[in-house]
Amino acid sequence: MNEKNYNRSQDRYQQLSEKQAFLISRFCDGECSCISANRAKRLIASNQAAQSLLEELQDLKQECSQLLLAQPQTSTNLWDRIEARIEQEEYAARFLGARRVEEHRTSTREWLSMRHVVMGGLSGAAIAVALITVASRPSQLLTFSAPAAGPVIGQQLVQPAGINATNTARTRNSFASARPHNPLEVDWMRANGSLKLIPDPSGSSAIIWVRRPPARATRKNTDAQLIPTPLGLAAPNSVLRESRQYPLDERRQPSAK
Amino acid sequence: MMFQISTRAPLSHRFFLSVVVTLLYAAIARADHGDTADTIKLSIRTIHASDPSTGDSTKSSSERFVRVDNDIRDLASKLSQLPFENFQLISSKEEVVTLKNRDSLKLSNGHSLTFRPMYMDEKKVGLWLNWRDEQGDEILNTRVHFDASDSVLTGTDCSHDKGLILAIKAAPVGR
Repeated sequence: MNEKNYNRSQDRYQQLSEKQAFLISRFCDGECSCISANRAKRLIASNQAAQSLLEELQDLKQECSQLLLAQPQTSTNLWDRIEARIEQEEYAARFLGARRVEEHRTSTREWLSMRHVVMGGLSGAAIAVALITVASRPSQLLTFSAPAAGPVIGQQLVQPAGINATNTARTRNSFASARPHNPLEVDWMRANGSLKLIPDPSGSSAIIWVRRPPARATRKNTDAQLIPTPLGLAAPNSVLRESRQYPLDERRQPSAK
Repeated sequence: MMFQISTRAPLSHRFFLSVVVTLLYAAIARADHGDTADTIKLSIRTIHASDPSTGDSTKSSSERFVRVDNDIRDLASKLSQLPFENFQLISSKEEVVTLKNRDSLKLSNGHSLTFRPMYMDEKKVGLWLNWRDEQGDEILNTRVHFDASDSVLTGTDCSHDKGLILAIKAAPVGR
């Protein structure tokens, strides 16, 4: 449609001279003086092509006016928004500093950042738990742990009141349930001989008794009587006789008077 | 005047520090609330046991007669559980020690006792003990917890008819 009108206008321009077409255009835009306006009116009245050109130009002018009248509100709003945004940015930059372009964080970096937060929290919690554990007193439950690494001759774990020596792997819960209230609580115990916990009927703490073999209990005397020989130290016969006086089955009980 | 507020980098640091500070404060508060003593006085009495009992099974330990010194009369009920009839105090030593610190004590009979008090509050005492004889051989190595108002007794056979007993009691200092 617009293309057809354009072609028609081109025909009108071709029927009119360049000066006449320019005069009609200036008359349409209201830019003519009084003399030019009279000339234009006379031309329009006498020439059908000039009249048609004026009508087309007036229609085109009206369409342009309608377009210009329809858009001003939108463009005004857009500029207002742009200006408001600029003001916001300036206001923010005044208090928060100039806006910086932050480097793009990949998902891996975000994950690492989150992991850093989580690990930081966990490590802090672990430190605090350790501090609480150190600050507070140890657990009141009786525990048994394995003896120090390496064989220890003549030493064994404590066996309180009927606990089997081979059953040292008992859990603390099982032992705690077996002895609900014990004034004496043992984390671990190691002795140079057999151990016995002698309970007190009055409810106070038990007595820890170490039954050392008589040979060890009397070693002070044996060491004092060692005699140097060309092949090393040797115990005199009296010491050997003393050892023979206490066979293994009698070592656990002191001999009755 | 320009201020720069970065919101992302210090977030993890703030979180970590806040957790640590909060829990540290809780730990300190709990430690203070526990009313623990920093310094305690350890009383160690060395007792010589003799005269092994005849092993009369018809008499209970409470009925059995034992001879104890006046200084250890408070331990008579416990000592009566042992198969001896005569108990004599050899020596009595007191040592003021700081918690968590290790200290050694030379007993009169040549034995040595190394100990380290772990904690002490109104009810309980935690103590590590290492008892060695005059030869340096280890007799007992243990870590025990016992009532603060009670004495813990440990003993061993010296010979076939004698025994050696240590009575250990802890008391707070300056409370």
